[in-house]
Amino acid sequence: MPKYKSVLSLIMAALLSVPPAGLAASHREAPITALDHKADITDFFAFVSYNDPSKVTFILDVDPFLEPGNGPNYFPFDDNILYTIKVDNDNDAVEDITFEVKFQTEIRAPGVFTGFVGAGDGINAPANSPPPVAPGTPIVPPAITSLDGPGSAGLSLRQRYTVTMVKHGISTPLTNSTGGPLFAVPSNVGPRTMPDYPALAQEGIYSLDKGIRVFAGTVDDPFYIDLGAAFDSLNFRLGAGGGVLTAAQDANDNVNTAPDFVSGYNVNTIAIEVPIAMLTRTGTQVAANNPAATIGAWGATYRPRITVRRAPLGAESSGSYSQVQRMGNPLINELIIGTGFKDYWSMSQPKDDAQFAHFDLDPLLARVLNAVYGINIPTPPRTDLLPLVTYAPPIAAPGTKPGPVADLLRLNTGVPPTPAANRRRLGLLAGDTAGFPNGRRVSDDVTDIAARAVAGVLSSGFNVFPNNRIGDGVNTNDVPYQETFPYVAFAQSGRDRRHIDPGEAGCTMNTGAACPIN
Amino acid sequence: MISAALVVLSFWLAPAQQSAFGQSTTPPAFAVASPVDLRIAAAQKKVKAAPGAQSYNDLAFALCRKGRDTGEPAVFEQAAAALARSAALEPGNYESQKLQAALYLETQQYTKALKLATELNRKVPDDIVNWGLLVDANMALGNYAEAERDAQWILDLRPGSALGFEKAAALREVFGDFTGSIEFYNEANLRASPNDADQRGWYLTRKAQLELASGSIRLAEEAIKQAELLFPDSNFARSTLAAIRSAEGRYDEAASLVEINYKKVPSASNLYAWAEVVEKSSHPDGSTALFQQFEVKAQAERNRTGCADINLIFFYLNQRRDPVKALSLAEARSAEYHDCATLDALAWTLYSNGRYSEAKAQLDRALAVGIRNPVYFCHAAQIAAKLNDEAAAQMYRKELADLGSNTCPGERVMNVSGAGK
Repeated sequence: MPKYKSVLSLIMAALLSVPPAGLAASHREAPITALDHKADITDFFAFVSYNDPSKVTFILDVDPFLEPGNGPNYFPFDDNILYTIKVDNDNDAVEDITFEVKFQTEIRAPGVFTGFVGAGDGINAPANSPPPVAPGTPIVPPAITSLDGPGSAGLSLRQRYTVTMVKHGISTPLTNSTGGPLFAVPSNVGPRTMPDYPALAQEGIYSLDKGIRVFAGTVDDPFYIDLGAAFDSLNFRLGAGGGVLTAAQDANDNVNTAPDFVSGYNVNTIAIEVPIAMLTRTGTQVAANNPAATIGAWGATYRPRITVRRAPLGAESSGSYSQVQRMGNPLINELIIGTGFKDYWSMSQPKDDAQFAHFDLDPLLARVLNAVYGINIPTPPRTDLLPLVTYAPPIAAPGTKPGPVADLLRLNTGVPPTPAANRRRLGLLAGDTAGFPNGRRVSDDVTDIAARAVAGVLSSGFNVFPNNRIGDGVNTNDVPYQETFPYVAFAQSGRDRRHIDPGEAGCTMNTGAACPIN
Repeated sequence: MISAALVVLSFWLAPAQQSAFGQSTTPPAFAVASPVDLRIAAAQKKVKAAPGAQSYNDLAFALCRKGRDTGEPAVFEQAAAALARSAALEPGNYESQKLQAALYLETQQYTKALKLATELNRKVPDDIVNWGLLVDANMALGNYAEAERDAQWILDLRPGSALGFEKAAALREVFGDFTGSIEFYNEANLRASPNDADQRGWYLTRKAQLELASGSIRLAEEAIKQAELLFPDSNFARSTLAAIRSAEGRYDEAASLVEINYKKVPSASNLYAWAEVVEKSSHPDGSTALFQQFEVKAQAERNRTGCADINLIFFYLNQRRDPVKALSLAEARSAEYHDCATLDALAWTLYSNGRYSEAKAQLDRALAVGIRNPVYFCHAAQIAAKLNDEAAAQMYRKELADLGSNTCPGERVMNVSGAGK
């Protein structure tokens, strides 16, 4: 057979591999993170540490909506994923420093049907135990009170992890100052299995080389939002002003007037605290008015890549990693990037974000707010949103090189943390200079801030009612955050967790008035 | 599956009409409709019941799938008509645009296909079908680096998708990695829908071709038999079986098979394939008339597409012995395409016109991609010998031998030392 024909046949044949249903399906197919939960970044935070302003805390949350009671395996990190936190310090939107985290799962009791089990001092077989198990034989191990050693026998499914810093192309493993391994903190199964969960979780805070601290494990999801209302085409509840908060509602950072749909759920987190001097391009901590003070950060997840070519040796069909998702600013991919572009965006690099500028410069969400609420919005191009995607005041010092349009979370490391009493959920919009969009703290109400920014409050003449009162009515998390590293609340109990639903009492942190339904 | 096997067996054994070589040329009366025909019938029914844009898109798709197997211009014309109807009902509808790009590829309008696929990819970069169209268009034009980049995007965007494995498999073949290509066609086949019989048949046929290219005739035969069970009466599978028979030296059987294809679809490429194998069969004189008919058909197609088929170029070289005409066609073709087949055709026509250094330069471009093709190695060896580079000639003869061949296709037996017999 002529070889020519095989090439032509190859081409002709290759075009139509996807059946008609598939043609339609691939056009409407869900983005990859809806299919790959483990690699789905839910949130990324970066802020100057509350109790050590010489350091920055980065938090990467992945794997959304973890139902706390979901045994028997709960929520391990994926051993195949490379989790990363990246920092740009010279304004070119290319990482200068990367922290890479990789997990490894061990099953310590392969015959046990659940990943975590324990009670009291342990439970032995009773007198009426039928053979061959003799009375007195240990059946249930003691309650889990430690990640390793005594008190950890019931921790059958346990994960170790490594942290590597990559700087100037050189990879440096960061080791535990005690020399021991790093263990991920499992989810909070419940009071019988893990009677003192906070103490157990505290064990998972490790001091590494160079003044770095790290924590990885399942925690309470720090994000709060009336998600159902938001994605019901902005069908916000009338009890929360129907999407425009009253002055009183807006002023009270501690009361919810709508249900937090993320209440009662956990998420997997990797938190790392790094000296600022290691992050800036000067190698020192500098004042806020110094252009070198502002860094750009983002999180990204990777999986081993299947490659077109085989590696020359070993004939392997995979090599290096393929980026699955990235996140800098909150809600960009969720609310700004079109569905037909979300995966392509996720897999692209921030430095190439100019290709998505049309979404940023004329966000559809703004037009939806205009249509649904009748508010005035600025005329595109929305250059008022540039400080979110370039190095520019009010976050970066005047004179800072703006760099390319890129979705990075920009943090001015020269701005000290705001004391708890003065912290405002609306961040920079409320005059709290340490809040989003200057970095992002766990308590920042990014939903309201982002919605108002898109509505135009950063643009002269548009920081007016109702644009500056747009909100979903969820002003605070369902459980208190911590004021110390890792700053997020520890995991909700699998046995006793509560989701706060529309119509239920205790809309604010399980106390107070009921959440509205309408 | 059992009924399909019966169809295959009876197809080879039933007396019915006979070709010059004693093989049946008529499918038996109880033949099961092929999956592509079933799909067309279902799509036509849907158009009657609900004549909307998507129904016409589905019909166009079904017709394109048939055209993929047979290469029939009339089928592609019907597909184009269905797409025109779809576009009339819903102007600019996205699915019809994708199918239009696919149809451009099927009808060898590669530059148009690349342009449209690029536009579609900009519109919806998450749609891996668009990336697949880009891979195909770029491969057809010889833009292999771009094709590889696009195929890698599919593998990254949708790891484990049949489409990604399929495109990467095609590229692995071009890069000379037959084993890796087979691996990926196997993966694609595993991931294809169990109901998509003709697609799975296609993957198995491709696998058969690769096994044959690797010198594994037995494995090629196994794969083609599996393909035929899934997709009875497939022209593509039949032509591959003919290639297997040729490789075994069973030219008469090969000629019968190719004759069946030609009788079903009297295209220039089917005619050329028939003529070529008849030339090697026990009745070689029959090839003269067939080649004459081929010239007429191929010129008509060239007038339609504006580009000479590779077969036409080699016809002028090998049958007409008109290297000047062959070169002019090859040069015209290479002005638009620089895929490996075009580069080899150009190289060989340059060689045939005594322009050996230029011939080497063109063939070097093709071989630099990594492709392992006995025809190309054969040509490269002869070009090197003419340039008095015996070391290179020996190297290419060894490459040829490594592919299980010491004969240049269509040429006299050549031993590794280069001396003809």
